[in-house]
Amino acid sequence: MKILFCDDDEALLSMVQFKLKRDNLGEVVLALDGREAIRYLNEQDFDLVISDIHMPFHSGLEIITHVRIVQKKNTPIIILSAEGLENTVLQAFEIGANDFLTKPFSPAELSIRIKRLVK
Amino acid sequence: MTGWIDRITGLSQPSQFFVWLILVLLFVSGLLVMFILISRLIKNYTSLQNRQRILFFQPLLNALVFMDSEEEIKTAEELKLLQGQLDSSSAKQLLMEQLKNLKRNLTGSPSTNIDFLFQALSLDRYALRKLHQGLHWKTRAEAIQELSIFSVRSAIPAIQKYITAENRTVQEEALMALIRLDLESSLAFLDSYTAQVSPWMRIRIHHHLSKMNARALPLFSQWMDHPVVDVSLFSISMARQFRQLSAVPLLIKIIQGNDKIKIGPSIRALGEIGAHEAVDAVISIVDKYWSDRKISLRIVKCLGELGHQPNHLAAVVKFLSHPEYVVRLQAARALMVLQPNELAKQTQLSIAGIVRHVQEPLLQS
Repeated sequence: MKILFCDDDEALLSMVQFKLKRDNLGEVVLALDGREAIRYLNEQDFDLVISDIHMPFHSGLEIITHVRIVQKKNTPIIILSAEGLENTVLQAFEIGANDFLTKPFSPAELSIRIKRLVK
Repeated sequence: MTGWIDRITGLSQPSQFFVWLILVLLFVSGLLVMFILISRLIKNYTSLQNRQRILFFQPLLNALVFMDSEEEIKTAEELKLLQGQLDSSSAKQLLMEQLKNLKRNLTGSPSTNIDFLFQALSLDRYALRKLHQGLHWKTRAEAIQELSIFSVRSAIPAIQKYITAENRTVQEEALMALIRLDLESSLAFLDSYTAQVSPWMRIRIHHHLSKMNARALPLFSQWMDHPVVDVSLFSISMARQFRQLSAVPLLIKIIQGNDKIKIGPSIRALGEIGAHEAVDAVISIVDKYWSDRKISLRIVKCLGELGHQPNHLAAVVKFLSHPEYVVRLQAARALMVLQPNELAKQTQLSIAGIVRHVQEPLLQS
């Protein structure tokens, strides 16, 4: 499985990559900002996308739009955000996110949700 | 060189003065430029060193944070490697920032492991040293925050000394830290708390407490009679926000007393908690505070929220002839909710505009 993980927090990227590899969830590609994420999405195919909402250049919501509307793909998308506002969550689901986790989050829970989504 | 000096001394006095002035200014600006360049080099070197440290720490932290038990962490090679790198304050501070960042993003066993790591790496002792020996208030406030973020309960006695600190920020950080760390003692430190509780602190505390299980919260009514007014107001506000019904009898007692500062907030609390049994007590003070705009406003709003009998309605109608406009407007709004037909019957010219305003469909929320 190939996962794209997008967040502007380097330490979190490294930690989640470590955890997902430890849980044998496949290759994890890291993107530090929205621009990098969109570039990777255009160059490679992914089985799952995990993205923060607030990032430089393009937000997580724009990434969902890019995958669903521009690329017309059904790749599962999980959104992570420190902002758990109802409107943001609803907006993410409306435009095509499959799951939403609020920060702080449990990496073990993230693993379980990934396994459930990709099954 | 001496030729130049001879040439300068051969000039007239004013010209000499200007030449020397220019030379001195050139020399000083040269020094300034050198200083800026050197400090830039040092800064770049420090940034590079910090970056290398971060890249070294991160894989070790990744491994330690996901270990299954504290025993495993204690004996891990990664812990020894980290300890070996913490030979300076800057390294310790850098690692602390990384741990803080991870703690902000993670919950569950990784978060617990981070707390354990903080103490295993003796960073708690470093934070305590910063707290006791830090010269600047920012250092102390930062140290208090760090001790509370990483749940160092043994630091509670040390932090308690700072709730009466001269510096406001240190005071507020200490209060916040005690609330985070001492909740098991049900905020017992408030019994002897003598400093102020600012509105901003109330918001922070409420934000923190609202993440906890409501059943684990202490009963805020125990501090409503506190000698420090800020603490009483704070406890009334918390009882309101967490809808503690057990506070209602004491709130009724407060509104029947003479402490005007507490009466308004107490009436508001009764209204928002939904204390219908308190309506008669609220009506009993209508005449007493008729000329007090703020309290009258609170009373009529509370009656609008809780009124359910004819005498409650009559009290609200009475407020339609209050001398203050805002009170009359609030009374009209309250009637709109309680008994719209009664509002429509009010044909006095003095409130015709208010009635039209309140009945305007576009202004309904």
